[in-house]
Amino acid sequence: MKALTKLTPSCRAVDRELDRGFGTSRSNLSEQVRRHLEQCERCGMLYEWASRGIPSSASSPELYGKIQSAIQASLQRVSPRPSARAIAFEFGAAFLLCSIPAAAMMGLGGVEKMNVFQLIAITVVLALGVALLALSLAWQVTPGSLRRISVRGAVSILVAGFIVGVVFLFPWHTPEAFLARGWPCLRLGLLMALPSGLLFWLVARRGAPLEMKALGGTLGAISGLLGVSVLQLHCDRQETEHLLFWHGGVLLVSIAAGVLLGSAASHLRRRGM
Amino acid sequence: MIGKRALQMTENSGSTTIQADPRVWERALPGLMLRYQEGDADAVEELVRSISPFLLRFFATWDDSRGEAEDLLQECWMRIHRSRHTYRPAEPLLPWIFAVARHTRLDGYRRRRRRQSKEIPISDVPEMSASPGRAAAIEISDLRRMLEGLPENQREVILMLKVSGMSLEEVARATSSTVGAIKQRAHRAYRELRARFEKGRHS
Repeated sequence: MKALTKLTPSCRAVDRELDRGFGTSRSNLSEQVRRHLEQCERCGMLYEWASRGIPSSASSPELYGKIQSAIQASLQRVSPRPSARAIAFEFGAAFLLCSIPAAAMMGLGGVEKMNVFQLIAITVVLALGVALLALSLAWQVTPGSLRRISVRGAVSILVAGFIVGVVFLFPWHTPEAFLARGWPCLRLGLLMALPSGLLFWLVARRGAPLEMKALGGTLGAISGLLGVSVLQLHCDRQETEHLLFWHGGVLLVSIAAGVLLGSAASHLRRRGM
Repeated sequence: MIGKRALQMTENSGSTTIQADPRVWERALPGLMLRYQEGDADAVEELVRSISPFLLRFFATWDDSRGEAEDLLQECWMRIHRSRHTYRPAEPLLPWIFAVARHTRLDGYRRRRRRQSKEIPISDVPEMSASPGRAAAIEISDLRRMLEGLPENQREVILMLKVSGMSLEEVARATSSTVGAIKQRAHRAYRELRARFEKGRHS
């Protein structure tokens, strides 16, 4: 008898057949798989089980009628939302709509402190972060969309990219008035993140967000990133410690706040069910 | 009337099993959904009649209470109705439907767990046994028993593959996952199911 957990290459071929779809007729199987199913009892049983149909539930005309009436009571024409890519552009446009006036109002003291290489490199890092989050948000508000990367993956890449970018691009200096000069940056960044978060939420609610906690975290991340981006252009302390702790802090606090708000929204939705 | 024909096929085969290829009517559904988005009441009727049996089965395979499954079905349709503008005709419909259904079930499960923690059960008799769909319930309960003990994310993948006939990519869409993650979960579940079949045979 074969060990329970040991799978042969032929067993894995059966797995691949099941991946193609449950209930595929044996005549459509490859010769190798057909032969294996005759020889390997456990694979034969698994395949047989996967191919068996499920009896139909008794239909409930009354229940269906109730559902139809409820829907028809508020039935009206709706326009389909655009593609996930177009929705991602909407989030990108909202980001620019908030960040450009904010940066113009606050001044570009940070740009003067950076050299051309630092400016270009950090802009690329931040822009890629925005694109990644915008795409992730677009997937989240469109049920059934195919995701190339998970929400957690997108936020982790953003945070890691920011840390790596700052560590490699900016000089380390002994902190001077670390708290006194850092606190205003954190406060300013969060003050910018808050209204932009509301704008991003307005864009998101045009779709159909399903996972509120994940959505909250991602909205927090993109709002925090907006705060970080404006600070990057405005702040004249372009040192690794300051950027990591105070500017990075804006990102982390915004993500945490977004997750908390998302959890609360999810809880409220369940209560209303 | 592609929708009607597809529905008849589902019902005809439904009298014995639902093994009828869901792909056949899946091809007809986007057209119905498009008409639903345009506000066509007939399309609503056809959609509800053709998709509800699959959704009901999906909910019933998680829970032995038919009443609970029917409540979830109603809630699911209300959510589908509120989200209908997010369906794009070029995309497959079943993953869109099941993405909404999955979240309806998860929210219902959490709500029920919260409620149960505050209540003392009056009776342990499942409602399913008193329903007209008894024969179906027995098979569904077999399926439920077979998958019991599997991690929830693996169980969900197997149920979607088996109940809805979706492909791995479609299940990935419905569960907001990547195809790689779904494949991994499915293969772990196949391995565990093989072990169960083998154990069952030797016991």
